[in-house]
Amino acid sequence: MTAPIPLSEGVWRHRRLRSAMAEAGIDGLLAFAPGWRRENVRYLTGAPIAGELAFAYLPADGDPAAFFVGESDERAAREAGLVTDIRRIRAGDLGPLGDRIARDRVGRLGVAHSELVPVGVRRGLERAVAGAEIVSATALMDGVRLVKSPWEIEQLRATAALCDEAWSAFLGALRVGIAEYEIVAEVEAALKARGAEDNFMIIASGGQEVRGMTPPAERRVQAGDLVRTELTPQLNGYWTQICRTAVIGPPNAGQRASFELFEEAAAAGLAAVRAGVTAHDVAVAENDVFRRHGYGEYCTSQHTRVRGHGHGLHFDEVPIMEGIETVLEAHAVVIVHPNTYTPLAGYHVHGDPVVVTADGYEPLLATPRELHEVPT
Amino acid sequence: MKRGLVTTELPETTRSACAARVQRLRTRLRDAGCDAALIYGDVSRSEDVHYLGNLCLYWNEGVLVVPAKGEVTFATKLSPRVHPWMRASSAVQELRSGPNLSKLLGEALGSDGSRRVGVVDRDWWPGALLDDLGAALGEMELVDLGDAVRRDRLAPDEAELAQLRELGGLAATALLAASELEGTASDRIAAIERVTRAAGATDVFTTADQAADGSVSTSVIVQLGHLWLQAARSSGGALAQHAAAGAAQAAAALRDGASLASVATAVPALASAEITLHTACVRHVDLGPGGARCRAEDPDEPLRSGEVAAIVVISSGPAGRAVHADTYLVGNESAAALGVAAGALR
Repeated sequence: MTAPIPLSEGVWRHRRLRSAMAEAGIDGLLAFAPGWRRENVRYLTGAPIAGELAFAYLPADGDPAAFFVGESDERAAREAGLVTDIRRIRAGDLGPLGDRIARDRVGRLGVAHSELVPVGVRRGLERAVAGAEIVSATALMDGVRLVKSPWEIEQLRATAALCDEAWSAFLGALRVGIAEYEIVAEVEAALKARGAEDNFMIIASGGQEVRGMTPPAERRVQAGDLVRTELTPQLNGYWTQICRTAVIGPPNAGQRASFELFEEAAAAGLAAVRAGVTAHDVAVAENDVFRRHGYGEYCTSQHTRVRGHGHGLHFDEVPIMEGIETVLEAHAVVIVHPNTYTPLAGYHVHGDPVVVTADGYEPLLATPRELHEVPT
Repeated sequence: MKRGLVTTELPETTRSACAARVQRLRTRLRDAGCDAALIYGDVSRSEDVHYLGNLCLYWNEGVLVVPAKGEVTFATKLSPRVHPWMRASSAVQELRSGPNLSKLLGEALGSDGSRRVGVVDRDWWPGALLDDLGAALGEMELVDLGDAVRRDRLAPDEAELAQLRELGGLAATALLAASELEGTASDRIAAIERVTRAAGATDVFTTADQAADGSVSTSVIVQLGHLWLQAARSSGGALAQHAAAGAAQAAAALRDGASLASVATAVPALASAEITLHTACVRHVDLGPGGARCRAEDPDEPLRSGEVAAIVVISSGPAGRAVHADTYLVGNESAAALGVAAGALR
């Protein structure tokens, strides 16, 4: 079940999008959703779509529209209520979409996730909107979605509360002998019972040999293990992540040292967060801690991916990495996580999501940043 | 993303099954005069990649390269940090990672000396990737191999059929666990998650409906490796009764020679003055996370004995909706439900 989305939210989004469209010289915006990247269509429609081919359309002036292959997606969009012009399409026939765009006499059409439009669908799209120039609008929508409305921040707070519950369920499941996939089953059940739509979750149990996280295997938890997870539930469309590591039994010296290093890096990254800084600035603050302690080599792509990322209708929005100069504006939501491998105790996962504010950040989680010890 | 069990203790039978599938594809490559085949996958559509290499693309995108001779290679945007896990959990040992798939593919194909390359399911490749690939490959010719791998998957072999029966039994157990609860729709979904994931499902998608006439429906689409199965049960009201009756009618029409369209039209669209029925028949290779994929398929192409198909009947009216679904093995004269015996569930 998803919470109703207020119509004022749609008005707020359309205003921001139209402002960005005007700046980019685009007079029609078309969001495309394949089966694994639905955030832009959801942003425009408010609908929890499940199909693998959907479009949402916003003209510079006039009503938005949405186009779905499946009946259930059409129903979801009608129930969400942000869009009233809703039409059915087929993979091989985008005629209704072309009719609507032609009616609006769109000269320059921006397509969000244009890079993911399948060859056959793109052929139909080009036929359907013949005469319009098609340009990518992926970055445009990423930029608009970066800053959240008050309603969106409420949703992200609710998902963060679910993260706290999910971490409790994770700790509750941990015991010597449980298999990784059985832990995930328990966490999923707890999340779904509380209304979660979905969850992104990777996990790794074991010792210093662990170099990263993956889907769960059959490995059974042993005394002395670190058990790491990125747990990312989705509620009412919005994803928030908690990154934590638990130890089975008392931690050894290496595990304690690892925790202290990662806590110092997370705290340094968070201390750098405020409106106006860049993703690069936050990443540098985290990585400098590793460099200072002689672990700088573990901040490279050989050992880690990002030092955090944005949250919203996609769980992996703006990357926090050195070299990414995206400005974190007030009301952006990001997780700061210096997750990486070090020889101290293997891969370590540790981080918190926050709302960026003018002079710092609002923490979203209640779970303390500790090395959680599970009694054996 | 996929977050079910991915075993890192790969049985030899899985490796040999993948080798046999790759060999069949190589025969097709020779027939088409191609030096290699490229198979694209993303997290929501990667069954062909899984079928050939037992690779679980749990997130992001990748392309499997099957040369006419030599090592199968997987090029992916996933980090090289997961290569050890991929090697342990798949039949593919040659891995290339990076943000630019076309560059990785150019390197893989260039080192093989390929001149003519087959693209499987070309119409479902992201257009931008295919454009970049064309530029990266220069003089190499790209030809469309159509749904060559999907067609090879249409009729499951004995091992796949055993897995589908296991999935059917798992779906039945999960639906039964959900039906025994007095709780909310979320509680029923939670019960299905716990049962299916604890049994080792690769992925699971569940929906639950409560209609005003008392009909309670729970639907599950569950995955094991590259195989998907759909089942749904409803009870408690007129909508549920009509969905179940419609499903029985559709199942009676499913046999060798029937088509997706003929099975669907075996059920009248109007069950009563207020209740309409929507019936769909879907080949199991076209099931995915959201149910039926939107492949543009000829609805009149006949189903053959040995194929597997799901029948989904949705009854809807002013009181809401109810769903009844099963997945069947098509036989010469009839079809047999996989794992969920008729009437076994409330």
